[in-house]
This record gives sequence, structure tokens and C-alpha cells, in this order.
Amino acid sequence: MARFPGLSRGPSVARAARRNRRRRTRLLMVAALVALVVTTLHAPAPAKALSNGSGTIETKGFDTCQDPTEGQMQAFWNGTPYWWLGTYIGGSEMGCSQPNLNATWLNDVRNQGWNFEFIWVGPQSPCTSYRYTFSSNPSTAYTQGQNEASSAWTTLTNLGITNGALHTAIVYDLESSPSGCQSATNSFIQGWINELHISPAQVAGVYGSVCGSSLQSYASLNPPPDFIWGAYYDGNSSTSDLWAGSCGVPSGDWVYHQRLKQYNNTHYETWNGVTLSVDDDCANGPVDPSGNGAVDNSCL
Amino acid sequence: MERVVRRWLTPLLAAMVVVLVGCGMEPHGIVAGSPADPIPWVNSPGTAQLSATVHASRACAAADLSVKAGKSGAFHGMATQEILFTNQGRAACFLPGPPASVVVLGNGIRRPVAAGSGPDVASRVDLAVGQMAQLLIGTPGTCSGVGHPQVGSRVDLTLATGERVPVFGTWVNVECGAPVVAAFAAGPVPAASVPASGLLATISGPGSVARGSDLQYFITLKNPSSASITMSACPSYTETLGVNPATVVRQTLLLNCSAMPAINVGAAVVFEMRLSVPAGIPSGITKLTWSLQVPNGPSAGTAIQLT
Repeated sequence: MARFPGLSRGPSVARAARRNRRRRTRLLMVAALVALVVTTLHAPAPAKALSNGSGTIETKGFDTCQDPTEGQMQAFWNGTPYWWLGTYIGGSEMGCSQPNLNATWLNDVRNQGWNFEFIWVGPQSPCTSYRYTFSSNPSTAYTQGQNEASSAWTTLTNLGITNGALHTAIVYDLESSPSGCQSATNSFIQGWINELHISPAQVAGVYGSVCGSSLQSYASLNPPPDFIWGAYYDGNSSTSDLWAGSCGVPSGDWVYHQRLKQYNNTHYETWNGVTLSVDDDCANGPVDPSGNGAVDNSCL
Repeated sequence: MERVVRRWLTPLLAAMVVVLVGCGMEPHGIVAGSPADPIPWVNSPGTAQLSATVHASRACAAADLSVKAGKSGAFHGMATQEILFTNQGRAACFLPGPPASVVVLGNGIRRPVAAGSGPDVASRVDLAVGQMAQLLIGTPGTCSGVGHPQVGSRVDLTLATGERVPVFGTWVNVECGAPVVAAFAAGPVPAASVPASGLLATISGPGSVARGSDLQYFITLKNPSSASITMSACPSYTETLGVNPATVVRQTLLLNCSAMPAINVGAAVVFEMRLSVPAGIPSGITKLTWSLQVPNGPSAGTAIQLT
């Protein structure tokens, strides 16, 4: 009867097998060591991450169509009254290209001391002439609002915001809201809010003209926006002042550190030798990620 | 298997530790500048960087410029179209105001872009080589009866030299009104980085300081690059304390390079900083900032309570 190695191994075969196993073990260990050393020495630096979250700030900030360079941000920080930047991060209707915006920029600018108010500019009211508009059908608009919130959340996390951007504040930029489409607009904003509130929840804001964007109409939503950012160019930096005489945001709405105000329209400002075209803003509400800053009574 | 572990794994782990420590897991070559032993502060006047400015002697020609359509979007209640200019020539040139522009609609009708006169429209922009400028064309964002777009997918520009430059791929909807120049501005002047530009700065210090006292804080400079950074041309730094329009303390000093002539790969060096806090500066939370005075240099800042 022929003997087939492996079917009935003799002692020498068993030794050879152990030797082979040892060789394999040694090779695997050396390979693992080499792999560990190589990956340790040559792996790219960990992606920079900005802390999630937000905190109340009661002080001045500014926004500009194109997020400035780090050098420009430094010039607008040193000794200036500004503590936060309205920062455009995306959306189909974002008006300016953003060559500087990435995780490194966010972290470096944060390291300078800045806070952020993240802005998303997606489709606008169907009663406008913008290129991208949401549906005039309230049900469809609601879903589109949810979709925009999802896209904004993805962008936040892709920018390196930690912990799923939990409690990070972000505003939807709604440039105008003609009354003929208010029902659809309310549904769209409701979708935006509800989707952002899904865990890990963000802090949902809406930006717009206090009259032209019908900000007050969102107070009746359930839930309403967590905070608003009203554009009202009366030169008065007080966030309490969002009522424009015959329209605007009544004094009783969004009163618990829930207001930002854009109070000066676009103009040039020069700080430390750098000139930027900016809008002036005041906050008595959440900014990202922590809200540290001086209290500026003119913002209250 | 136990023998294998005893015979191989322990020495391998030891070797790994030696290799990793020796090859960059820890900064090496540092004898000072640790958190416990910072490089001492020296009171030696430095020089602040001047903001780069450009003044060109000739107008930009078409051959100097790369011109392309940027984003279309919504800004300040207007539907906007961005047009981006880049000086790709060999010398600085200028645009004497926004180029005359005409929106060309699909049916061939030409709609001139009104010259903007607002505070956001520069009367002239000078462009260094590689520098960009942005032209923003806007139309009203809403009107009664909206819903019948009249879109121009091409904008014809006429430069000061008389040359015409067509820009394709635009989206300018004139259904709610005539197009207007909403903004015209130059981007930042490109600045060539130096090795020290690549350092990373972090700031640490007390959360509060008494007015009329000396503030001591620390700046950590880390070299994340793959080459040692020498400080032979010792850079200056500028520190500021305060917020405009109240008192702002500002001073520019030389870094103490004699104590740390180079920062090795992966190393982080701690420098002591000192700043006299005026007794008359307002109390409360204010800004403390630090920036290295090299092109695109590192900077760091924090909020601090003045008591």
C-alpha cells in the first residue's frame, strides 16, 4: 500500500511542518514590523479636525462673499473688534468660489482665535429668479429642505468637524421669500430644521432679510429655527433691533441668545494693512465651536 | 508557540520601540525649549512685515489674463455670476475698473452690464503675477411674474486695451432687471513662502492677567515638514493685546534664535513671551495674538481676561 505524505505523517514530516510554521510566523512578524514602521513614518499627518459644538457669543463679526486667506484673517483679527466670521461652506447657490476653504484653513483660522458661523446657500424660493430653486409644492419642498440639511451635514463632517458635527450651528441663507411662495418656503425650512435635528443634531439657523426673507414667518414652525440671522442695514448693531417699522422680527421672538444681525451692508474695511469687502455683523447667539469672546454691549 | 513568542516577539517589540523613537515619533536634537524649560524671552526690537502692494505701470492685455466664469449664485438679494481674472503674464498689470461687459442672451440679444458705483466696486485693481481679481455681475433676485428666465450663457468683456474677451459658461438671468456690476475687487497678493512659513504655532498661558502687570505666555513652534528649519535669518514676531477701539498694545520683537538656531523635523520648541499690560487698558475679555513675521507665517491667538 503506497504511503501518501500527509495522510499519515511520520516524525520527520511533523518536524518539517513545525519548522515551516515557525518560518511563517517569523516572516509574518517581520512583515508586520516593517509595515508598522513604514506606515508610522510615512503615513500622512492625521487630518486636522475642528471641534464640534457651539457656544453663545455676544460680540461682533463679519462676513464676506469669499472666505479670506489665512493672512487676511490674521490681519482682521489682531486688535480688531471682530471675533467671528460668517463662513460660506457650500450649497448650489453659494455666490463665490472658495479656494481657501478646507480643514487646514478652518483649523489654522481657529488657531488664530476665530469662531465661525457656517453658512449654507442652497436652492432659493421658487418665486425668485435664481438658478436653483426649490419646488413650489410644499411636500416636495420639505424633502428638498431635508436633502439640503443632509448635504450641509456631509460638508461639515468632510471639513473635519468632529463627533458628527454634534451641536454645531449652521444657517441656511435664504436671500428672499416672496409671499406668493411662503407656504413652500415654510415647508422647505421645516425640512431643513427637522433633518438637522436628527442625532447627532446640529443647531439650525436661518439667515435672510428681516423683511424680504420673511424671517418672522418661521417663528410659527414646529420646531422653529434654533436661531435667526437677520439682515437689516440700519447701522444699529443691536440684535434686539430686527423690527423695521412695518415688517421684521418682533421683539418677543428668538430672545434667548438666538439672534444675529447683519447691520451694515457690504463695504470696504482695512485692518492692519489688509482691505476686505465685508458686511458687519453682531451676535447674541451661537457660533462655532465654543463662543469664547468679549461681551460687546452694542450687540445685545 | 510560546517559545516563538519568547524568542521573537519580545526582541521585536523592543526593536520597534528603538526604531520608532529614533525615527521621528519623538522630536530629537532638542536640548531646550520644552514646556518645562522654554527658550527665554529677549527684548530685542524686530521688524514687522509690510503688506504687499502692487502698482502696475500698464493695463492688462488679453494675453496677460486668464478669464473664466466662476460660480453663479445668490448674494445680497441678487442673482450673481462670478467672473475670475488671473494675471498669468510675466509682469504686473492693472484693470482700470471693471471691464465693460455685455450679457449675450440665447437669442443673441445683448444686454449691457451697468457700471456699479457701490462701495464694493473698486475703481482700479493692480494684479501681481499670479494674482486674481473677481468681477461679480448681479441681477435682481425677484420680481412680479418671475418664472420666465432670460439667461445669458456668455458675457463679452472689453478690456482697456480694446480687446474683446468672451467668457463662456455663465448664467446671468435678466428676467427681473438689467445686470449690474455688484462687486469688483482684487484678491490677495501672492507671497512666496519661506521655510519658517511652514511652522505651526500654538499659544498657551494664563486665562487672566492683572492690568499693570507683566503677562507671561508661551508659543510652541512645531516643524511638521520633512526638513529642518534654520532660523539663521532670525524672524520677528508681532504680538497684540486688546481690541479696537480701546487700547491695543502692539509690539514687534525678534525671536530668540540664538538659543534655538534650528527646529528639527517633527520637533516642537517652546518660546517664552512677555508683554507689559497697561494699567489703563479696559478690563474684561480681550484678544491676545501672536504672529511670526514671515510670508504666510504661522499665527496663534486666544481670548484672555484682563482683571
